[in-house]
Amino acid sequence: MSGVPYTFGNATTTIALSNLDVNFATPVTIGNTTVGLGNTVTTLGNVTLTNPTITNPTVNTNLNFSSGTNGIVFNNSGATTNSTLNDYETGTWTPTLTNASSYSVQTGTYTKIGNKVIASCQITCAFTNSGSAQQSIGGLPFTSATASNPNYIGFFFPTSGFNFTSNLQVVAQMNNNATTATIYYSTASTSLNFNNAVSNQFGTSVSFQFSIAYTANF
Amino acid sequence: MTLASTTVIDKTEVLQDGTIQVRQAEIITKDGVEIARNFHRWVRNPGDATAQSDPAPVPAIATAVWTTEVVSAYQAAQAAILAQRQSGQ
Repeated sequence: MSGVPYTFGNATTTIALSNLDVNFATPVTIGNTTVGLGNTVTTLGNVTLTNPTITNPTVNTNLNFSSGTNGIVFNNSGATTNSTLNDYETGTWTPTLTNASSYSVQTGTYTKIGNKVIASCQITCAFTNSGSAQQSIGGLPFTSATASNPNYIGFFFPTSGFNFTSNLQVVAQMNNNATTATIYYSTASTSLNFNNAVSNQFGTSVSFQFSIAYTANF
Repeated sequence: MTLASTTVIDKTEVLQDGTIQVRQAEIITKDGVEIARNFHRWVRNPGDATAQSDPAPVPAIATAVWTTEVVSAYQAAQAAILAQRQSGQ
């Protein structure tokens, strides 16, 4: 017996028995085959490792999770679905305001970690301020999960063009199962009651920033 | 060195109620090799006519998924959520 065949990638290589003690001194398991690689640097190509135990690995490229539900399972809970991180994404979205007629600034960014979305945006727009239509920010990047208590509240920073009385708080509440957040303002500086912000409290040109963290439906 | 940019819909997610979450990717390549990928997202709710103006495959998905029953169920659910919110619950 002059050698042992091994398949690396798509090629089968025959290793001389005389070399096994040198290059395969320390056995490891690849699939169902046990071989020893010693300290030899070997490129294995597209090798499927079934349930490997990897000690102190150095990964020099991306780890890709091809299934929609696969991810990194943190060993801090017996409930796998509650300890699996299976999503991370950053990007942009296009915010809207209910009564805006045209936009000069309309930018938004988001980061999604697991099922939590952190989104922020900036809008400067011409505004139709007649009537009393309830105002909402729309176009958020993911549909929200349904939440009764607590709801998801975002910071609303009016930069210019609003007719709110000074010292009032303005916030926006994420709507359930939606991509919109309704704007509210406190009815008095000392009051905890909040009313819907309506169009006649806005000027004909408004500018604001907004940020919110909420749980996505997906 | 050749830089190029292409835009594709690289992910769509259809939620249980028929809502379609759309991810558009701008892919930047240098001499044919991808060097960056930027995402932009939006959501189309059942019955939203603007979905038909989105890039493929969104219109086809909307046509296939948004049956009359799906749209009606979505609108009823939204009406219930709105009523609950207005009642202060």
